[in-house]
Amino acid sequence: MLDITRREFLKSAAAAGSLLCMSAVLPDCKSASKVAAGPQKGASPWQYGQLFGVSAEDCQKVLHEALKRGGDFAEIYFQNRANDGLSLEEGIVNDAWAVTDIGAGVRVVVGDQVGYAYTEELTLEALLNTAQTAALIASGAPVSGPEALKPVKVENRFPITYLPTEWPIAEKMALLRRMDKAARAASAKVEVVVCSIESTYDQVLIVRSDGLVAADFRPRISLNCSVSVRLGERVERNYYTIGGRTNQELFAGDAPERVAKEAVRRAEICLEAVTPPAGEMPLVLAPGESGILLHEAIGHALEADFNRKGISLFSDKIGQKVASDLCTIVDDGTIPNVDGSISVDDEGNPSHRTVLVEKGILKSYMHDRISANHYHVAPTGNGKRQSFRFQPIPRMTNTLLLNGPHSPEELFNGITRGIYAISFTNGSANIGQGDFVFYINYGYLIENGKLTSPIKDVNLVGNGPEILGRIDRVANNFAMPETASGYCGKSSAGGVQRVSVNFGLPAVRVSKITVGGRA
Amino acid sequence: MAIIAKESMHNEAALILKTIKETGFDAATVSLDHGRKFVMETQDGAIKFLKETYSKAANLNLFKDGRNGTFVTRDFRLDELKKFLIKAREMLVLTDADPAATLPPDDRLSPLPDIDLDLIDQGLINSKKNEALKICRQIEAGARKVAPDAITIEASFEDGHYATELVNTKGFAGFKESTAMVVIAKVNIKDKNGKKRLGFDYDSVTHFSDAGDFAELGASAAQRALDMVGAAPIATGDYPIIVDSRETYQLLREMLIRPLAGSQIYRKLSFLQDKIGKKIAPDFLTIRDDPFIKRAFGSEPFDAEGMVNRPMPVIEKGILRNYYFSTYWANKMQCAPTTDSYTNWIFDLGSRSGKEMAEKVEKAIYINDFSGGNSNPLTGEFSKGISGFLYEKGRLVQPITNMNLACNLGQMLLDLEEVGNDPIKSSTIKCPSLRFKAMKVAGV
Repeated sequence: MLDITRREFLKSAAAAGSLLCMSAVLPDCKSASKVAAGPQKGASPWQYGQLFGVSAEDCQKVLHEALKRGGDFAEIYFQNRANDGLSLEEGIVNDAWAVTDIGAGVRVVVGDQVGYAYTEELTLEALLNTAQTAALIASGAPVSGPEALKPVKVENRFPITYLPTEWPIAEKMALLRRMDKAARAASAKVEVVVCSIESTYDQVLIVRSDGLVAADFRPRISLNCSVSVRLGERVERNYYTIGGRTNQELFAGDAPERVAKEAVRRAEICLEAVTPPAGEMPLVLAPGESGILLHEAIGHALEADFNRKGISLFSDKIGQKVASDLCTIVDDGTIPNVDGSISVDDEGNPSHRTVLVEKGILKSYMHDRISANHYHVAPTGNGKRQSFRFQPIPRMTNTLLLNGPHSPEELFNGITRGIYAISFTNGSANIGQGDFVFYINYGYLIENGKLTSPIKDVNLVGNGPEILGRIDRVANNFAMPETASGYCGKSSAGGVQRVSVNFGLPAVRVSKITVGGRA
Repeated sequence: MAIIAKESMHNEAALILKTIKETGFDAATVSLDHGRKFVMETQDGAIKFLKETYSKAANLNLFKDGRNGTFVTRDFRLDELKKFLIKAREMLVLTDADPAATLPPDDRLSPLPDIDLDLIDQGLINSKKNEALKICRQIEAGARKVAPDAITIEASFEDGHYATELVNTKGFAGFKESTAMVVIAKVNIKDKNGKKRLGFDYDSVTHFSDAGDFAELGASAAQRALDMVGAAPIATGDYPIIVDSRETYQLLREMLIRPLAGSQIYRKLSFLQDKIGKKIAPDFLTIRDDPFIKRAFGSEPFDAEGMVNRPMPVIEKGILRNYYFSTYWANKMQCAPTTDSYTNWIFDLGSRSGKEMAEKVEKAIYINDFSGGNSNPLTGEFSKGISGFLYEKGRLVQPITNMNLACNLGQMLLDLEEVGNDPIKSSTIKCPSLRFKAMKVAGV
């Protein structure tokens, strides 16, 4: 069943005379709606399970096995991933790739203890063995598995019309060639152009010992252009990416040309860049991409696993002031078609909008099942995992700072010498100390309230609560980056897990931050 | 969990290659990877996490009519494999031909070295999972002794057995395998102002008997946390720099590993392009790539393409000797391939450790942790967060954190003043502590 596409699956589901929860998973899919013309009321949810070759009875047996040594909870997480891509360099589409992955993870939870195992072989025997391994965490009396399984309706946050991986290769190649042409036409300074396009989808089925069954379909697509430009002896490189949890419709119209031109524009700005300064100075963050500040300065420290262990700087700060009055920060997984969003998290809980900080006061952490139980609160839909090979842990979805009262112009008033940061490559955070860094791809110097020379390749260093307390202007021009914000890696038991996230904010001013330049 | 079996991997890889040929591909490499892993994590004496896995994957490098692509599958049922390959072929033939995409040259596919790299511990093949809890508790006890008031003490034990069978249509067939054990100690302690300090230490070995004392590992992590109590940024300025050997990988990844990659060189995106045979560092810097160190994680008889590995000078007395060219990038450059990636880097050592250097300096920042940051391999611009210690007149003045080191990596190589004698055994980049001339450190 490895190569089954969603459309093939839908056809087979229809042929079997039932559709089950697929209409909940794919309410806006034209092909789905065709097939869904006659869904059978009360149809079995296990048509989705058909993809993984399991029935409801099989899952009940596996969960029963998982709880044979006791435990509070068990779940099976099935996943099928299809990913493919093409890249162009020197005018030819010279690289193609495709990856398929299928398997299931079984988790057994006892208090805050976790037993985990996975299998890439989806036979009942392999699943039962996997459950036995995960059950080793427990050592008590057997607990019964679920008597009945209850499929839940999942609100689809990724409405799409066609499967991204069903897009004809010739069309993808044409799009890459358009990008290449547009990049070369944008400037005579362009030397190297590398373009790529990537499509992915995940099919997920979650079956829990409390009876919940949730199915989800998660598309993702991205388009990237990377260029280097030369002016005399000076060479600079930059890139631009757009993408999200959608399909090729995102790349309609002049999107390829726009991506290519933006990559060239950014590279050409870097040709003019001066050596960035060193030391403490005011910082203005541009709207959109600068949301990485939230992600690093406070986001990770509010993921509740660090807090329930008492090792986050924010462990005992609920109800306390942790940022300036101007800061209201939310984590919102419900925004349609963007990278960080989820229809349902990897524990089967629906996506949610959680107010983390309201007017500077800490209101909530982001929870998975274990931390929600620890704090006796409802799950917030933040239990995410890289794949079936990992257990879920609290992760951000889309972390947002809401609009403030200032006009963008007001942010620059009174700054004699500072930094305007526009684009970023990466960052990291030390949860216990609250210290964080993030790396500026490019921005500008601010001199006497005006943008002057470009700067690039410089780190910003700060302490989360200190920097959030120093936010003294928040503009009213909220934006999320159209770039695919990409992935965040976080250490967890058993290894680093990479999941997709996003963020957004209006322009923001920080009265001072350490800038790691050399001038 | 299953045990890796060489014979069955060999047969499985051969069957995949046969199926590829039957599907109409002109040439191919099959890299079949199997891995077994066990993980236990404890916190304050109790098991918090257990995981046991066995996984396998076939990485296929396929060629058809001058076209090339990379495909990964984990479903080896013959019917499913055939369907996957047909789909791959249909995708590939629509792309453009690239004459640089070839299998490695014949002279790099043999002979395989007749060396026992001693990478297998029979005890770890079967897993030491029954001893894991005892080991984790020893780590925790060592930490608790040094930091009795710690907020949390965590330990982890991981062992595994990993193997690759690589075959190609030129007749190459090679098998490589290794066992590994990794133990980690993490200690969180309270500092003033509500801050918490994390102390971390680890050990990783191919053989159980090579591991250090577990209690000492815990004690070391606890001491590292305590050493950072009261850490704060100091004034922005130019400071001589000593990088602790444990952190040199973070620096060398940006300074040499990324800029020496064949893709960067061909695309002219490296500050080290056109530097072969040229002086890029002082005379006392010599680095050689040695794939044949016994019991070392980087050791392997052949690389990811199946090219037989050879010892290779990287820098000799400050002169750059080689880039890392896979077959593809070598074809693009019209030169012979070296290898796709580093194995073990061995340095000519100096006479003292990083700590001994610090105790003799007039003034220096001793870096024991890099955080975040990045570099531009094209220009060599580098900017990274740092923590560590300020030393003055050979004495430790205070721990520092939340500061940033910025430099140009090309200049930093030339500004190297001393190479230590204290490389980390478990690292593939066996770099000792390094001392540099003054450079810009941003703080308050």
